[in-house]
Amino acid sequence: MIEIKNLSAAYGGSTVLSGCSLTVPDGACAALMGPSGCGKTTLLRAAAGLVKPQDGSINVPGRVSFVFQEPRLFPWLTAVQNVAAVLSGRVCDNMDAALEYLRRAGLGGASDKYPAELSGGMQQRVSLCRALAYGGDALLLDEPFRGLDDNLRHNIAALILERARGRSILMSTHDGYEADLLGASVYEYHDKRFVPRSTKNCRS
Amino acid sequence: MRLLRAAGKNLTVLLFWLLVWELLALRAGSALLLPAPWSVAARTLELTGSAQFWQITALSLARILCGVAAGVALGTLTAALTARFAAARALLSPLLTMIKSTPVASFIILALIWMGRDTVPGFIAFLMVLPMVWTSVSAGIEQTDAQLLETARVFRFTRLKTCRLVYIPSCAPYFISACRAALGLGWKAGIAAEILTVPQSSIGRMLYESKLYLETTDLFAWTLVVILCSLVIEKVLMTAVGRIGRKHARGSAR
Repeated sequence: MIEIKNLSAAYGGSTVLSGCSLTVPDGACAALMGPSGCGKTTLLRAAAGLVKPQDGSINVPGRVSFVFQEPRLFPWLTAVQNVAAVLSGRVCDNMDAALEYLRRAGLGGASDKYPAELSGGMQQRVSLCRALAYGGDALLLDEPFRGLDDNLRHNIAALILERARGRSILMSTHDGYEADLLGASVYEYHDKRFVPRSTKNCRS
Repeated sequence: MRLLRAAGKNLTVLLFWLLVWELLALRAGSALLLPAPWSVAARTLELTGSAQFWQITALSLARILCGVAAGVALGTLTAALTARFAAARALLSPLLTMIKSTPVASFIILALIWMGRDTVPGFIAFLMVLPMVWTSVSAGIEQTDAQLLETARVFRFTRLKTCRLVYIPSCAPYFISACRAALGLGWKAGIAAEILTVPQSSIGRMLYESKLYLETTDLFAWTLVVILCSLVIEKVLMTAVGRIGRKHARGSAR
């Protein structure tokens, strides 16, 4: 379960989140929506422990897996090695398990390619495979479907739902359709907080 | 075809300079002032026929390369230490900068006072290489992609894994270019130290004696040996580390 209470956090020196509370139970998915720079990524980074909040508390028990906005693959490792790298033990011992994830993401044929030899969309999928392979108790996805066409978005959503079953998922997106693909409850940015879509509608 | 053309071009350039050398030697008119290229080549070949030549060359190589290797190892270790600990950085940075700025001849004279003449060339090579490798590897560590380090943190890489999968590949190009430069510098500084300290069985001693007895052809022949050794060790190093370099080049191809 991801539990965020009265969170205040800054981005680039200015406070973007204030008094933000959010709970994502185990097995549920929540999608953060809002204009660029509103604090979606800041909230995800805070949940991952990468940003120190100004105030409030974040409770994410166990390990956290993260898909960054940028693929952030290790350029000197092949696609399959990038996925295998996050599994415990030696990279070479995890190749089969890693390859399975890539196959499911339609990247079986590109497993031995280096990130520089892959397109942006392919890199994004490798990054997703890496996060899914890592497991963890919570999955944080920062615009995970960026650069993917409709067909791929469907396949990847199915893979996420299958592999992240039982875990809490918190994602950021600009597209309500992407939230629907993962069956996510949508939280919209309003007055430095993310509030459930219906709540905001009631207030306004 | 392209290889052949490149080889032909190189050969032409070589022949041109040999011709210039030959003409200058003819103009000088004395082997004492400037020996002809063919006589230097003949003398070099003659030298390679003796067992003593190989013993001298091997001893000089071993002496100096040990110093270079120690400099590379300690330079890398020091870079890791100064990157990790501010206290180490504050303590060691001025010392290494001072070593880098001190003329090599001063160190050679000092080293002659401190240690045996057989040890000086290796020590000098070590002193020349240490700050150079330290500077390069430190730059590599500093330039390591912060996003990749953050990724390693998120996926809870151990320190060892972060080092193996992030820092080492990231620093590899810096390390390789440092090794390449260090080998050249260390080898030349080591030979210079040998000339001033004249250890038994050393290329430096042969160069010194050639100068002493005005055997200019020998001086050129031994200099040629120094150059050839430099080329061979660089080639060996580049072959050994080529795999890492290629891997990195592939990784950053786009």
